Amino acid sequence: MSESSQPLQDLQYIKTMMDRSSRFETITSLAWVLAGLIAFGGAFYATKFFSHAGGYLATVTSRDAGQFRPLLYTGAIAFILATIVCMSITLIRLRPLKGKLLQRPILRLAVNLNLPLFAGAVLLYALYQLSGFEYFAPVSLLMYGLGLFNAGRYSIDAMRYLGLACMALGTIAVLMPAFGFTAWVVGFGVGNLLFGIYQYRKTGF
Amino acid sequence: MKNIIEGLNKAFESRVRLGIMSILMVEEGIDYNSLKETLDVTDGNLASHASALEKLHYIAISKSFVGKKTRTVYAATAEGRNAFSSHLAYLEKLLKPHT
Repeated sequence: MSESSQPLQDLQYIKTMMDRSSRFETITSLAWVLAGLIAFGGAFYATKFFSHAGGYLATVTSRDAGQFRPLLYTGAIAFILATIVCMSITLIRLRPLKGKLLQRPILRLAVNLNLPLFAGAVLLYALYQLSGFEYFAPVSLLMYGLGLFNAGRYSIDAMRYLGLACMALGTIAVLMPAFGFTAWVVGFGVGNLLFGIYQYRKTGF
Repeated sequence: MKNIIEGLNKAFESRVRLGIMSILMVEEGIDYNSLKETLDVTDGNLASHASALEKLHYIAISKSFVGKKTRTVYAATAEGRNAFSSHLAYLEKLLKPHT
């Protein structure tokens, strides 16, 4: 190993080393915390649309798409908003490392997280056709959990545990549909928030 | 130009140290053998450069036992991450002398 003084060669060497190792942990703690808070906000807003008689369960078991749609839109908007916020924070945060260096690790992480989410979206579409609205929250949790568990291989290990926790919540909510809303709030809200705090204590922002 | 070169961190002059930090920027924690394999260096080489980085508080080295064997795990500290990020920024600057 020779002593190095060439910036270009140094950068290429750094890139090779980063590519060769498979993990990428810099989804920042702030992104997780904000994702959690957005989920709380969405959940709070969604309570407006619960039919008055029976709350969440009555709304999702009504088989009335008109009653369910506001909940669906709220959830979808919360998810899209959280995704945009997380991506922007990560990109801003990584600017000092200059995009190209981390392209492949980030891509690996993104693909592994998003494929299960895509499968989840397809499943939700099928459920919508069947008016199985009470399974939206559990299936979202299951597929989100699967995504995290999968992507965790390319990031910090704790992400895999968050994924398992979400899958457990999803499973319970499939068996107990009345628990669906609470499970959603615990998984997407509390889960992401706690994970953000955990990561903040470990690596800072 | 000279000022910029002075901004380069001496701790990262060696390829091995540069490699160790690059890997620890993307890995949460990595054990000795994986690190050695990824870097493709000899035992003595890795050990001496790692302990140099540890003295600077750029990396943390923790040892634990797996059965009767020791397992050494390396991780970058917040200080190390900052130092490496600014070193990278300097390298980038060197490549664009007009900015």
